[in-house]
Amino acid sequence: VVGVDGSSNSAVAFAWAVEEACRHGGQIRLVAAWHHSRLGNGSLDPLPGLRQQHAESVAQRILEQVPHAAVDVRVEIVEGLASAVLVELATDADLLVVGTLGVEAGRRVVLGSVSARCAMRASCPVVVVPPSWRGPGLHELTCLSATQIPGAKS
Amino acid sequence: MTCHDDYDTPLDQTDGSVYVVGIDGSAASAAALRWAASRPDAGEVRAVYVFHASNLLPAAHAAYIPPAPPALGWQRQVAQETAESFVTQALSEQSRPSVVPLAIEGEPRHVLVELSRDADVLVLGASHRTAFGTRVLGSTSTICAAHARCPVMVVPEAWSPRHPAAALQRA
Repeated sequence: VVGVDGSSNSAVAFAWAVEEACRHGGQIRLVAAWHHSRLGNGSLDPLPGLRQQHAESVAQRILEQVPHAAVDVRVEIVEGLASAVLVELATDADLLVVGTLGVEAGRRVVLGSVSARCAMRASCPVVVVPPSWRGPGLHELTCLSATQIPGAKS
Repeated sequence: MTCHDDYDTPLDQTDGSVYVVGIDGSAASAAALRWAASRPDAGEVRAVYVFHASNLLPAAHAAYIPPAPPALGWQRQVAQETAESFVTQALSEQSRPSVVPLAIEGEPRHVLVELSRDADVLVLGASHRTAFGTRVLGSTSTICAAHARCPVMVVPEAWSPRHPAAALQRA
């Protein structure tokens, strides 16, 4: 299970998962979560459709950035808080993969709240992939036909 | 700190991936060690026990001791023996050959982040329980996940291999 948002960090996380799946086999579930944000007066979010659409386009963009032809990738757009959704989906997973920081994290934050919560609560091992990861062994993998890894830039 | 490109990485010397596991005697770090040892591509698993030389002195005097005193020989030896016995307890005999127990003096987060330069994956245990019984991510795990140069694997205490091959290794 790979959790993604629009950040370049999550593209790196996905690239790591692709390499992992290439080496050891397995299926990737690419998860983009979205949730209703309540307005100040307590009424429901007027634009749920837009948020879901955004999550879909985020997942799509990451799929385009990282070559993954050799791996079975299933995209899931789920409603709910990112950390809760990922921990829930990871109960059946062998690994949960996240980046260090998401798009919403401030500059002074060292580890994103979603990553930290996942690492704390998930029942499977959680891997936190740093933005500097470049996939040292990736070019040697025969199952990848692409010449480079556009997603694995910092 | 040197730049990663200047750093002489010994990765080429081993077949398979290098896993660095931080061990501290906790059940979660034993799970982390088992996870690393069960990996089919594990070329070398470095089980690193980071110890503080000054920790072995009475706590009341700790504040007056200059930072980072050189580790005494016997302290290093005791720490090395601790690391070795932990590995023996945590792993079955079959999965042990690729595991190298190491004792390194220093501050755990600094040592582990430094070692992450040469590693493919840094593996740590997940949970520490607070006095209130709630689970928190340890500060070492948090700092390492944020600053390490390689992906950091955080393994929960309850992890056990589910694949038949891995289960065989463990049994």
